[in-house]
Amino acid sequence: MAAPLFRNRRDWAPLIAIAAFVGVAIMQWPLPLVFAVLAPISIALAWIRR
Amino acid sequence: MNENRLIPLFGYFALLSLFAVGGANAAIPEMHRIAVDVMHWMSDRQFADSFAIAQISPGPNVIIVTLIGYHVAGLAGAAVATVAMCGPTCVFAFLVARTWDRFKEARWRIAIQAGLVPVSLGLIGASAFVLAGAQTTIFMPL
Repeated sequence: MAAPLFRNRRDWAPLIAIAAFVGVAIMQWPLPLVFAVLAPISIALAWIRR
Repeated sequence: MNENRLIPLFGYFALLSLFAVGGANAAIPEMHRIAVDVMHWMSDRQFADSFAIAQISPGPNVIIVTLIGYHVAGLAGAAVATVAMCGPTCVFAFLVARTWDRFKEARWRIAIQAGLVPVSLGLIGASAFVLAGAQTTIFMPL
């Protein structure tokens, strides 16, 4: 499932996925908070790097 | 007593439904945090059992929300949790779907889709971690 992230050379995407994992699973921060921070960053990176 | 639980049940799941990008499974960690850690509605074992029942049951994975609602406040809780989880997203999807196809080639649409994929992946991974943790808690006494 994660393979296309690497195939398409979106070097930032794995970092966002890891940040979401750490924030929600390890730090146990609220999902809305993690989403509200990471989603705009991720979308901005997708916009810039495309 | 049930009425006191129905309002937060509705509020939490209605809010959660808007952030469940990647499906119900992406929202499992937050459901676990709310139901087990914050509100103490159920134990780790009960949450893991609810997830297992939701997975082996035919139908959508979001059935886990119904099971949590049922555990918290009976049939009324099941109904409230299901409506809260499905209602806002249905309305949102209905409104967005009308314009989404019109902007198939738009750069902003492609950026939104590409940007949300890694977030969803991380959340689904977090779901696996949280559920594995719940299972570990169950098997520790053995």
